[in-house]
Amino acid sequence: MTVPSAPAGPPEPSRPGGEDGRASTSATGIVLEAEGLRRTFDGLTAVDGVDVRIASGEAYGLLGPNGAGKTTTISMLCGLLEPDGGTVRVAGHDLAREPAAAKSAIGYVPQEIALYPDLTARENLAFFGRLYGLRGRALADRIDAVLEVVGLAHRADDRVGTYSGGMKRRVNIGAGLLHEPRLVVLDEPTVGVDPQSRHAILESVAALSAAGTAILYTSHYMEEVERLCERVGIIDHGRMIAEGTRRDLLAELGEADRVDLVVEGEAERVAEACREITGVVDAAVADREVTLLVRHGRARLAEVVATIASAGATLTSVELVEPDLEAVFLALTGRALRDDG
Amino acid sequence: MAEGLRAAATIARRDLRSRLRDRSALVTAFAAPLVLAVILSVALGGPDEAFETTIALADEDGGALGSELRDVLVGDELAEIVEVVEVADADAARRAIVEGAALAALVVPEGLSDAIAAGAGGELVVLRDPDAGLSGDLATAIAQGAANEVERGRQAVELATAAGALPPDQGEGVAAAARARPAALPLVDDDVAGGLTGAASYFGPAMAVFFVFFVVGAGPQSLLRQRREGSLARLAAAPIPRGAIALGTAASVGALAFLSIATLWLVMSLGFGARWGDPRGVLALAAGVTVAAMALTTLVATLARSEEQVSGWTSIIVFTLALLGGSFGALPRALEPLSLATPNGLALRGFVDLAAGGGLEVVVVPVAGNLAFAAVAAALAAPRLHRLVAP
Repeated sequence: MTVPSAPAGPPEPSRPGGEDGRASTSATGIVLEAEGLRRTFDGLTAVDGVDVRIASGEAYGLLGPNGAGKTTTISMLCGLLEPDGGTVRVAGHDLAREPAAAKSAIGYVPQEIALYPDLTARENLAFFGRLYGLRGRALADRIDAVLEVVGLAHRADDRVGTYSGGMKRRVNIGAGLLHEPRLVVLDEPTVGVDPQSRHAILESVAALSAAGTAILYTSHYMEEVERLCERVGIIDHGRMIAEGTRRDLLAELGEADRVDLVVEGEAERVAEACREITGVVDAAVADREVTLLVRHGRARLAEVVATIASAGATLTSVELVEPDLEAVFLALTGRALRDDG
Repeated sequence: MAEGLRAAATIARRDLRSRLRDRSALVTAFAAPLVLAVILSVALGGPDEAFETTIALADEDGGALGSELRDVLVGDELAEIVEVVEVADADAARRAIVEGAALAALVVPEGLSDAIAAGAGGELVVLRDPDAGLSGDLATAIAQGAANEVERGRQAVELATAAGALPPDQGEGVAAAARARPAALPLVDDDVAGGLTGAASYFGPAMAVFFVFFVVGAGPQSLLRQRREGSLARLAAAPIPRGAIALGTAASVGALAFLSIATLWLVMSLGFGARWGDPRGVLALAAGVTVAAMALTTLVATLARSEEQVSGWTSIIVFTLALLGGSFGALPRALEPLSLATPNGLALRGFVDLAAGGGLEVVVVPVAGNLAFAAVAAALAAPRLHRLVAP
C-alpha cells in the first residue's frame, strides 16, 4: 500500500510550462503544487498534511468517501477556504500572496449547478467571463467557442432554468473553461446526468487534458476516474493514504479480487460473517450490496455462498470482478466508494 | 481597487437583471406597495358619510385668545361633531393634517394676545385641507368668530369710553389702545394636503418605506441561496475580492429600492395628487432609510442559521417596525417617541414634514437618525459579515 510522505512525481509534462516568464513551478510544467495542507474545524482535523502536484496535461483523480476531507482539500486548492497550514501554488503563483493571479489560472466546476436559472446560457457565461477579466470581442468569441464545446450553441439564448439536468451540467462545466484556465478542477461533474451527457462531459474533459490543461477530477464513479486519470490520490480521514498510477495502486492489492454480492436479508450480518472467511481482506455494505475483497476470490466463492446461507440471508446476485480501483479503495478505506453517497 | 469595483458592478448588473426577471421580486418592489398605498389612501382618506371632523389647535401663544378658541371648540354646540387635537405648534398642526389626524387646524401664533392688547395687530392662522372643504370652512368660521370677538371687544371699549362708563383716568388710555387695534383680526388661510391627497401623501411614502425593507432584505437572502446552490463558491473562486460580492449585491438591491420608491413617488403624485415635497429631501430620506434597512437585514442574515430563519425573522421585524413606525397609520401622540426610534418612523416624519411644506432642514434629523441606526446595526453585523460571502 502506498502511504506517501511526499507527493508521487507527476509524469513528464506534455506541454512546456514557463511561458511568459512564470515562476519556477510553472517552468517545470507543474501547474498545481500543494504542500502540507492542513485545516481544522472547531478542533476537528478535516485535512491533515495533504500534498498534491499536477502537471500540465495531466488528469489527476482525487477519491475519498464523504467526510474524508476531499471537499475541504478542493476548497483550499481553489482559494475558497484558507488553510491553517501549508501552501498552494497555481501556475507558479502563491495562492495566499497572489490570489488573483493564482485564481485566474483555475477553472472551478463545483458539484452543484452553479448557474443563474433566470439567465440564458450566454448571459451566464458572459457574467462569469467578465469576472475573469474577459471583455468585448474576446469574451463573445470565447462564449461561442465554449457553447460549441458543450454542444449547446442552439440553446444559447434560452434560460438555463428551462434546460434538462444534463444540459445544465454541460453549461456548468463550460463556465469553468471560459477563461482557458491552466488547471480545471471538476468536483463530481457527472452527478445526476443522463448517459449521453455523461459521455459528452467525459469526452470534453479528455480533450481538455489532451490539449495540455491540468485536470483535478473527483467522482463517485470509479470507472470515470479509471478512464480519465493517469494518477489517482485516495484521501481518507483527512490524509492522503495512497497515490500513484492505476497500475501502482492495483499492484498493492496483490492477488485480491473483488466479489460483489446482492443479498436478501441482513447485509451487515452477512458482511460480518464473511470477514471471518480466510482470505477475505475486507467487506463493505451499501444497502443490500456487500462488496468483498478476497485473495484468490474464485477459489473462495463456494465458502462465501455457504456463509451467506448460514447468516440467514439469500444470495440474489454474485459477481467476481477483476481487481480495479474500487477494490483498492475498499482495501484502503474499508468502505465502498459509494458508501454514504 | 478599480478591479474590485468593476467586479462589484458586474455582480450588481447580473443581480439586478435576475431580480427584474423574478416575478415575486417585481411584486415586492412595485405592485404590492402601490396597491397597498392606493387602498389605504382611498380607505382612510375618502369623505365620510356623516359630518364629523377633527380640528387641531396649536396654541403657541398660551393667552386669552387660545383659551377662547378652545372653549368654542369643546363647547356644547360643537361637541357632537368636532374632536379637538391639541398640538404643540404650527408644524405639528401641518403634520396632523398630512397624517390624517386632523382635517383642519387653528394656529394661534406666539405673542398674538400681547400684540392684540398692545394694538400691534397679528394674524390668526387657519390650516385647511382643500379636499375636506366643510372641515376647513368650520375651522375658518370658528376663527372668524374669535376674530369678531376681538373686534367686538374693541368696539365695546370705544362705546364705553364715549358713554363715560369708564373712569376718566382709565378711559382715555383704554380708548386710545382700542382705537389703535386693527378693525378686525385678519385670518390667514393656508392649504395643507389632507383627505385623499393627504392620505396619498402619507401612505405613498409609508408603503415605500415599508417595502424597502423587503426589497433590500432580499440581498442577504440571495447570498444565502447562492451559497446553497453553489454559485457563491464559483464567485469566491473567481479572481475578485470577496468584498465585491457583498458590494455588488448591496448595489443591486439598493438600486431596486430606489426604483421602487421612485415608482411610488411618480404614481402617487400623478395619480392621486400626493405631495412629496422637495425632491432633494425625498432622495435623502430614501437613501437614509435604504441604508438603515440594508444594515438591519444584513444583521438579521448574519445572526440566523438558515434561509428560512432569515426570511421569518425579517418578516417579523419588518412588520413590527412598520407598525411602530406608523406605516399603517400614525401612532397616538403618546407613542410618538417610540415611533421615532424606528427607521420607518424617522423616515415618515421626514416625508410628512416635507409634504407639509418643510424645507430641507426637516430631513436632517430623520436622515441622521437612520444613518446612526445603520451604523449600530452594521457594527453588530460586522463580526459575522464574512459568513454571508463565505462559500
